Amino acid sequence: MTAQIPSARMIDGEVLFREGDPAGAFYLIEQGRVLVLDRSGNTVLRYYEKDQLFGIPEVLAGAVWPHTALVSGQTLIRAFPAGLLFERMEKMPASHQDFINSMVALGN
Amino acid sequence: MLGEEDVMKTPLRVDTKALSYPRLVIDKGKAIIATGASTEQAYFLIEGSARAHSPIVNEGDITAGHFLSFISFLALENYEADVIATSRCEVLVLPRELVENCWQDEDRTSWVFACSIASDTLKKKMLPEREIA
Repeated sequence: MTAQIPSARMIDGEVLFREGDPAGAFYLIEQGRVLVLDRSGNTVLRYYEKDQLFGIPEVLAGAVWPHTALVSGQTLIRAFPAGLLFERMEKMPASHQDFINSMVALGN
Repeated sequence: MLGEEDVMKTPLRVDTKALSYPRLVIDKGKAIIATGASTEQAYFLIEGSARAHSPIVNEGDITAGHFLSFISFLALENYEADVIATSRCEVLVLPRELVENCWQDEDRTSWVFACSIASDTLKKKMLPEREIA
């Protein structure tokens, strides 16, 4: 899957997505860190680092991002479009699809 | 804490090979999994019922035919809560490698997605907030 999507280099402080933006992609961090901030922008709610994949629940739920995320340090990141996720889901056995969807429901 | 949900049915089939792995017999009220135990092993409930005492994910009553604390198994190196038998239990103890291989034999992508979603779910609930310096 990664072969289809090129990595993008982002710089420290660059915004990956803003609160209220449609969740149209999920992300794999290859280098650096992504911080998820609260509404004030002063508090880090959580962060994601190298080799971590995030955003699948929001994309599958057709949600908007509940928080703003920005990059910390030099970061390499791959953004996988929602369409690719749904395509992969359709190719899964039904029992796997059901399990993934139940996990999304548990987490959202 | 997340809302109480029906225990998720994993797509894994526990076949005759898996059934040959060691089993634990646990009396009611005893721990099947202790907080901090390695997730290098998965626990599949063959008989009985159990409850995970997690402040993060409420799995409700776990009944026969389900894995115990499967979200933690997917996401973490160590189980984050005790799982206590609420009746006499028979539990199959399976190595991570077997579970992972069986899953990926059916679909590799869903394993990656499941681990990512599990990790994301716990991260949203577990990580303390901190001020930006």
